[in-house]
Amino acid sequence: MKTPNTAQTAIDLLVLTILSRRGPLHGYGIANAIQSLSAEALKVEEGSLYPALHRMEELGWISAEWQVTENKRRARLYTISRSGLRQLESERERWNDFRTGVTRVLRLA
Amino acid sequence: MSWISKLRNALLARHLDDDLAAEYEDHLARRAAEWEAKGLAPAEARARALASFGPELAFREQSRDLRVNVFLESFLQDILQTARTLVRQPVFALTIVLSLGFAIGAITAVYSIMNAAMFRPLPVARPETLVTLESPAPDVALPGSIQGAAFSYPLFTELRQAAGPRARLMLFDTPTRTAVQFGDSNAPREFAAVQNVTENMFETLGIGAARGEMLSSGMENLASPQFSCVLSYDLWQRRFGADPGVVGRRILIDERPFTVLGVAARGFTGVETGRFIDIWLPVTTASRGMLTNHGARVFRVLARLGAGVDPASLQDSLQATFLREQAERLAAGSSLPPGLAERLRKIGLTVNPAPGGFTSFRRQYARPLAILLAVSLCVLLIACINVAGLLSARFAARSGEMALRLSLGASRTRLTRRLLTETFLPVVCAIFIGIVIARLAAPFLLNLASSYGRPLQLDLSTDMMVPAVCATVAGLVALLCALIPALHSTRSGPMFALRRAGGQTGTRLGRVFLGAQVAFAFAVLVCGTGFVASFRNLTSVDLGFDPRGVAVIGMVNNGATGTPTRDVQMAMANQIRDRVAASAGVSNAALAWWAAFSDARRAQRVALPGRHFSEAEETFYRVSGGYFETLRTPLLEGRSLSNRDNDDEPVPSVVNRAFARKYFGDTSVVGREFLRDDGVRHLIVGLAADAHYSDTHGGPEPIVYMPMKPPRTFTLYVRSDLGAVSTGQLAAREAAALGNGLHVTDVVPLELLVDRTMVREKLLAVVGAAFAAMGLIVTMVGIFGLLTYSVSQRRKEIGLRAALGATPRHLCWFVSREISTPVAAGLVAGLAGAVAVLRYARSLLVGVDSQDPAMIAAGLIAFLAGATIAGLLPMWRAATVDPALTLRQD
Repeated sequence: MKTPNTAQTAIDLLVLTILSRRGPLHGYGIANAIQSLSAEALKVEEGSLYPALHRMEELGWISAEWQVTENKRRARLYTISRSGLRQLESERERWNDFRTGVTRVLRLA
Repeated sequence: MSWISKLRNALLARHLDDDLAAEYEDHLARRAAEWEAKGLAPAEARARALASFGPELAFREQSRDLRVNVFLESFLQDILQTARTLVRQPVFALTIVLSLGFAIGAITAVYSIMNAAMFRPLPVARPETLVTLESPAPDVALPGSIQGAAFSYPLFTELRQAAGPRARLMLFDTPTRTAVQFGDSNAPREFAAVQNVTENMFETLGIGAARGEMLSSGMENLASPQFSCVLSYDLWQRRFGADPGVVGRRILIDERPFTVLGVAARGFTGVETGRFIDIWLPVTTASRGMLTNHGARVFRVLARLGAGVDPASLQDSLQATFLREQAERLAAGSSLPPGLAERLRKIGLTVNPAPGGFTSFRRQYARPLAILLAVSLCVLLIACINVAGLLSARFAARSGEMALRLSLGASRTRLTRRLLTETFLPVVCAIFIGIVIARLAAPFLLNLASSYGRPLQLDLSTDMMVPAVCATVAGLVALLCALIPALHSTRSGPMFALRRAGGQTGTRLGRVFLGAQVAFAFAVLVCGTGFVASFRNLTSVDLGFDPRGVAVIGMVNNGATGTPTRDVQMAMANQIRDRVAASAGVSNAALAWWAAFSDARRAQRVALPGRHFSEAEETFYRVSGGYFETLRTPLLEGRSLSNRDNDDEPVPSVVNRAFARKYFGDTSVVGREFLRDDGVRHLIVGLAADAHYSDTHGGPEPIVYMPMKPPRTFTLYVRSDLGAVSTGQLAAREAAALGNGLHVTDVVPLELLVDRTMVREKLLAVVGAAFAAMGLIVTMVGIFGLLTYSVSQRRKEIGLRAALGATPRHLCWFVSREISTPVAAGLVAGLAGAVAVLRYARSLLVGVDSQDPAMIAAGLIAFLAGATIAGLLPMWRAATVDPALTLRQD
């Protein structure tokens, strides 16, 4: 098991959540979703999303397929897999624990 | 799973690249479209999209690395690039692949034979509990006597009783090539390897039946033997197409009817390496004389030890019985000289572990095979060194490129890996070629070691040892070839290499390689020359007869109704001889009991009147009139034998010069008499020139020729210009015309019979010469490579020398001076190696000394000629260097 990397975990959590709620999306769609949902709070380079997607794909959490989308363009659509859903569950728990911990420290220190 | 997708991605790298590019482009296009929709110009929109995206190329590389196995991909890349390089330099690649491939093939072929013949135990249950019973052959043994064949049937039964539960003894005769008819007496005669065994062999060895049943100890009945036989699985497949109906069939073996009892289990080919048995018969069906005569010591004994018994204790428990029987037998034979009888009496019985069964083949071929293995190892080393030299020269020539790569940040491991791939790829190709060559060469070598009527058969297929050895050999090759030059090539630091100092060390290493190569090549060359010279000496031995154009025809006289009387047999034999001799194209014909060089021999001791009998037994050979004329053995004095001569005492005999010299010195022998050890008197009526009887090794043997007596089977010698096959057909036609049950059983040119005594020498000569040529050619390539490389490296210096007035001769000397030291050192070392090998091979050399100056000189001349040819082109290049052109170049 890799050592947890907060930045990586955060982006994984975001992508998996979005895919689990909104169904198959291409990278562009995921990027837009992150930006609009976080109210532009997460200002990252869009391109950095792709290596993360490909890493998760290799890990088997999401799968991808080339499909023709609404405007007749070909796009690579990502879908969350069963193991991705399991991963999302555990990541969310860990994230909540982490957040609770950090919040307690901020409040009580 | 992810590993599989990574592998797939690595294999389909281009597809992956397109895929990634398309996905990234899709994102950028969508973002740009969005900006355009907001009213920006296309170029502006694109720029905005790129800016928000970040460093696209870097991300793409990241994605790529995530999606492929980087190590695997670079490995595949190395292989592809190497393959491309090799295809672009076919001569270089072919040199490496072929020289290594041939060497690996040669050594694997020799080893696979050695493994099958020497190391593998019999394919029977618990081979480690098998032992042979042997009695060392007395020192007066005849050249043709069979190793370990020291037991008579009566002695065997006594020993079997003495052994009791300590061991189960099995008896074997020497397998013979026997005429078999798979049907009635009109069926064609075919030849099969037939062996008499005791009925308990199959159960004792644990050999099951593939069909029917096996002989078993319950069937043993000396008084009324059961005429049953067991076929080998191989014969059943080959001759009967695996027909299950073969069980119960009646076949004729040497004219006697047998019933097929069953087919032995697959894989069992007999108890002797190198010899496959086709048919096993119960030994009790042998002639009565063979089974009751204590003197018929023609059998060999194999035994299975009982639980907890070791060979030494079995030997102790059998020794008394053996020595008592031997003493009784020697006392009965009164003709033995007292000294010899005393020596023979002391020879005891030995019991030796024999997991591989009988080993006469091993004894015969252990040395030639060991020599061939050593020689093929030399060839492999030559090829390895050559490859190492070629590669290191190539790597050295690329030291500049390597340095550049190092200084641009390539890791040393990455470069080493690249260089290793460049080496391993050709080596792997060579291994495959080697395996293919071994597959082809091993049967070829077996064929070479086979001879008429004595096929050499080994099971070469069912063994994992050979591929294992091949892989080991190849691994060592790769290690030697690849690691040294590769490490050498990447060791030099960037600065060092960029100053182009690497080339010098490259050639220094090359010179060491060259020296070693010359040593091995010269050793192999001298050995090859020695073996060829020895074989030539053997074939040019004066046989004392002229085998060319003589057909040896085996005949049998069964009689039309029952066995004919002796007079009728003799008359028929003479008639067939006369009829064949009178045919067109036939110049002469003669009868004899058996063919010369066929291993059959009648040998007896000889005494002059009033003297002791000789220790050695001499050959007595029954021949008809016309024998000397037919074989062209010159008659020196007296008369030849005629058809009127018979066995009345004193028996008229012709002796050869070796016999006369041994027993009568230089005095005239015609008219003198001598005694045979059974008391029969012989009168010498003629003196013939020396002739060989069974072997071309050693000097001519003493022979007594005596008049023909009619046996059931006999040999017809025919000298004709028809060829053996047509002569055989002619004899068969004449025999059929005569009728009365006279048949041709076998036809063979006499030359073939003579040739088969030289099989080992032929094997060594042919393979030795091939290996020598291979070693020389590979070394020539090495010399050519090194000189060419050195000339190209020192072109500037050569040009300078030419400009300063050096003549072409000087330039050649300048170039060749560099390799003269390693070549000279290599020649000395190679000579020492060759002398060592030839000393080990001394027993196989005829008329060649291990330090024969003529042989060494021949090897040296061949080597120097090869080296000169190899050096000509590079030297010519050096001599014709245009100084102006060269100086202008740098």
